[in-house]
Amino acid sequence: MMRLRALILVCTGACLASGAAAQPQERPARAEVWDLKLGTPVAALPDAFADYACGTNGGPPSIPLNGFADFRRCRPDAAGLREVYFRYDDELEYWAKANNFATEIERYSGTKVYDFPVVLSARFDEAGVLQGLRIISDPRDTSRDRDEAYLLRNFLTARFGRDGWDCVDLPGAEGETPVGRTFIKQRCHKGVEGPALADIETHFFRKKGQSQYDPQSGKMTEGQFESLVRFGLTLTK
Amino acid sequence: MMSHRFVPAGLAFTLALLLAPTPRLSWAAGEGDFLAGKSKSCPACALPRAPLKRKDLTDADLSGADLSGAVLHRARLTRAKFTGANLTDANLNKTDLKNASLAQAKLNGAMFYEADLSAADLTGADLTDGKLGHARLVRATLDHARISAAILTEAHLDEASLRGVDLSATNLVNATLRGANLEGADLNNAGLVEAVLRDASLKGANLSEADLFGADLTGANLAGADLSDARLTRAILTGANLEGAKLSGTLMPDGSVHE
Repeated sequence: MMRLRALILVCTGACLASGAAAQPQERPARAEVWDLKLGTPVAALPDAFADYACGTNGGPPSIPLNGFADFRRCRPDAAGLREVYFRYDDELEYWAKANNFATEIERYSGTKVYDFPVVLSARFDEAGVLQGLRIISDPRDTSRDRDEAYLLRNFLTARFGRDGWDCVDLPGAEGETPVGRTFIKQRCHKGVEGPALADIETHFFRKKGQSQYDPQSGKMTEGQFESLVRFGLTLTK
Repeated sequence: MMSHRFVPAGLAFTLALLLAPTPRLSWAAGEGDFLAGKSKSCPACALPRAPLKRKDLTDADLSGADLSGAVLHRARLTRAKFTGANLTDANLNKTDLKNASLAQAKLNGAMFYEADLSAADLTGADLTDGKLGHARLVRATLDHARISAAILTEAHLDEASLRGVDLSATNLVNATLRGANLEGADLNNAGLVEAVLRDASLKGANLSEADLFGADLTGANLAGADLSDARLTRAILTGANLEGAKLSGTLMPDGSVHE
């Protein structure tokens, strides 16, 4: 009797596990930037993203593309790589909205890395091999306070290990001032698994002409600062 | 005692799962051509769980097709024909279904979040448990459709035809139904908080136990409607016609309970 009961339990568990995948309106999976493995030929990359276009190094998307496979339509950059912009598919976001799942709506809205709005792009060589990824904080997305954007650096460095980063504090240009008492203008790099080079540039300061108070009215200003993270992961030869 | 009860229940459940149809792994020729994009139409085809995300199926004919559990997220479906089709639990979020025909379709549990169903024909469709939050159904025809226990929060149903529709226990919070025809509709226990029903016709409708808190019923025709035990607190009834309406136990806009 006990053996039969155990068998039923095991079978029920297994059936539940397999059956769950066949249920309608199950949560669809969403591909993320970390699913793109450097060194993968373009044909083997998941076609699971949206709004493909030629990338502009963190700027707005350029020529619309049907997918990564169209990478040759983008002009090569100085390093000879062609940049393809993409966004996360919003199927999961709308699935959550339709079902009014508050936590999932928060989690799957927009194109975000560690909950920071970002501009993503993949960089290909002439042979169509994925050579690099770019993650740049998106100042146009207002779903999160822009002044927090520079904090993305902490999550990215943690992902690749806190130790071993080679960092340089860059000098402030003319007119660049701290935000409060904080001035960050730093470039870091580290060799990581791949082998690849991870590099991060972080900015948090006021640019020339920006100030906390309006010089005319004396009122507190809003958004007069640069808070930015530029992350790149590039395969090393 | 517990184990004696558990074994047969577990066994029945296990057998039910084992005997359940397995997901489709291959498609018949007609369905294959359709999925490969060689054909835009596939009436009466078996396409359960078909991956049709972002497809352009404008003017497609999928009448009578089995599209249960299909993913049509962001598909372009203007004027597409789904008459009598089975779209149970399908994902139609963000779709463009303007002027589409969905008459008599099975749409139980289907998702239409932010879908545009303007001027679509949903006569007699079964939308029970449907998820239509923020959907646009302006001038759509939903006569005698079953839309009970559905979510229609912030949906736009202005000038829609909803005669004899079953909207019982449906969530219509913040929905707009300006000039909609809801004659003879069943809105028993419906959530219509802050809904806009200006100039709507609710003649002979069943609004018993409905929650109309803060609803705008300006100029609405409620003649012969059943509003017993409904909540009309803070509702706006300026110019509304309540002739012959049943108001027993109704919580009136001023907070009083009607005898």
